[in-house]
Amino acid sequence: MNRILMCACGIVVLFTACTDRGAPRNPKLVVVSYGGGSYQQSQIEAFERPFSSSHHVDVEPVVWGAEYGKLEEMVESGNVPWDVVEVTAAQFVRGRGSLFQPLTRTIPISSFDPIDKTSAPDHFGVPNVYWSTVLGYKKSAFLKEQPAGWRDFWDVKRFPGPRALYDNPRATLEFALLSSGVQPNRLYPLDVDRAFALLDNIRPYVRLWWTDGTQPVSAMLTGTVVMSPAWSGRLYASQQAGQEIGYTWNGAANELDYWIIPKGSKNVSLANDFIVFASDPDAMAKQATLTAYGPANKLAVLRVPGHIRLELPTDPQNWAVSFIIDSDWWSKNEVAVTERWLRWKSK
Amino acid sequence: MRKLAKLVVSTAAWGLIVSVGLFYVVPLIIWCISLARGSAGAHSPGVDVFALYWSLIGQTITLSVAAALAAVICGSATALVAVSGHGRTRELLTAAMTVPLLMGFIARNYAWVGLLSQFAGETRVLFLSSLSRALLYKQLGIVVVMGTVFVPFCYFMVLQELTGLSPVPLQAARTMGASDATIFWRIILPSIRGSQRNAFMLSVVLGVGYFITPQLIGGGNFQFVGNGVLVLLDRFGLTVDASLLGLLLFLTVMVPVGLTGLAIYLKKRQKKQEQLKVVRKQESLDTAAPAQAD
Repeated sequence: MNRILMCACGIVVLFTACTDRGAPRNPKLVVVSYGGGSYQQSQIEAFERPFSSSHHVDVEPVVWGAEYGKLEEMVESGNVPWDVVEVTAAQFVRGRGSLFQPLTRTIPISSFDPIDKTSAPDHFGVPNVYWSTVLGYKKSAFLKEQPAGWRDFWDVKRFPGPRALYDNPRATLEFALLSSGVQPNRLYPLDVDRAFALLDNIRPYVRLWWTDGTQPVSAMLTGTVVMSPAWSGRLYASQQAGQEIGYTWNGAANELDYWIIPKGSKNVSLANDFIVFASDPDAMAKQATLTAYGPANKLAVLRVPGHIRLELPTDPQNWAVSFIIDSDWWSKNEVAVTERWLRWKSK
Repeated sequence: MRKLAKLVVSTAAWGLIVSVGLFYVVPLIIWCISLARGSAGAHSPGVDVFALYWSLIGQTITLSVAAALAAVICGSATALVAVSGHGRTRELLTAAMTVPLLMGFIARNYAWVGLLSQFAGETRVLFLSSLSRALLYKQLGIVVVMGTVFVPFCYFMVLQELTGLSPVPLQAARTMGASDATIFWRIILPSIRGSQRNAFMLSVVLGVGYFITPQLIGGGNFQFVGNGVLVLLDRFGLTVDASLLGLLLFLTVMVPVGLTGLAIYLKKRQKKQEQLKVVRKQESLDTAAPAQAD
């Protein structure tokens, strides 16, 4: 019995050793995107797979929840397994001096024309995509009249039913202020006290505080809640699948993501190549077509088919009724406001 | 042979002590010192850790205690059924009790969320949808899910106590005409009280460290201290604030546990001393009696 066991072990070891000496391996690049689901799939199809075959690189896609502390710890400890990371605009402002590797390749000006109110690519990062948090609702719950903005979300008499909110003060405080009639161009600096007072009013009707983009969609589909802010790309995918969820662009919160290379990446040159590749208008247009998020590059928007362009956060009609999250304000206030948020939620 | 066994046992014991020292106590001491010096890492002046702690600790303790109580009641009841049933019943119950321990945290929580939200959306059976309304994203849901995880600890502890219970007092009580209820209240319950107390304390200690279950089952409506630690550490990298919050939770658990342990130790010592006094008194009486007889 022992002999048989030893023979089997020997065969396994021999087989492993032989297969290990096979063809030379491609270099590996770890690309980290913010949020999974249909969004990550679109990045794989538009950027990672084509880059992998054209540059003979193994690209490993990784999802993160934009936990800035995690990235900070990695860089400080010198143990950085990531090469390219998608960060939010507020994180880009906070980390550009200390956490990010300067880019060694620049994006040609001829191929990148930034969307209005968007900065051009710089030494530390390249604007990638505008994603939007819009007001979604379960269509069958509102057959007579459908909610048209945050004022309706707060109006529990006209639009009854349990709600969900994003478990994050960023954008949620803005939605509260919009519900009380504050104009989008007068949101910042945020009146935090007033926003929390308005949240007090809606809190008894909030059944779910979601942390992941799939949660609000599934909660609306199962009828657990009837209304929730949700990421526009997820709702677009849900609509394409024929599911009965509607959404409105009124008061939508737009946030910009950047591609960066964390300090300590082991593949800086390849990571630069990837960022240049992913900033090409054709590649950006392909991603936008798949997920309906708005490329930060006007040249890419022009390449998106007309019917999908209407669903992008950067479409002029949608852009006009939405607002951009002020990354400067949030980079200075996010910690204190989040601490207050945690205390408020535990009251 | 006996010497060898002694050597093995003492080596194992010292190994355990050294491991505990290296992996738990030493880092804890270093952590406390660096916290006191304020050199443990990033800290934000905008975060009031003590205010955050006070706002989170109430829910953490209340829900953990509720879940532990539920587990003690269910675990004890199941152990009683297992002891009074046939061999097959006990095997089946023991197998069922190990299932919650075998499932990972995420799988367990998502299974519950999936189950309950399906009831809410698709199923039109009245009982199931009202179950969902009562449990999903509610405090009761957190207590039930945490309770199911703790039930096995209580079950196995109580079962061990019950199987080791001497049949003599039970038979004596029956002979004297005591009813089943009297036997349960007067003999069985006092016998398993110790294991119930241990199971309860173990469950509470485990429960206060939870954060995934409150987030997923509670739908973010109820937060534990662990959720606060995670936000400070993961989202903002505030290691000092997160460590301080963690240390406060650690003290919240360790101070009562330590005091309870000390109280039990002192009570036992007092009892032992009293017993010793009685024995000595008896001995002195025994020695005095023959002398008087002489």
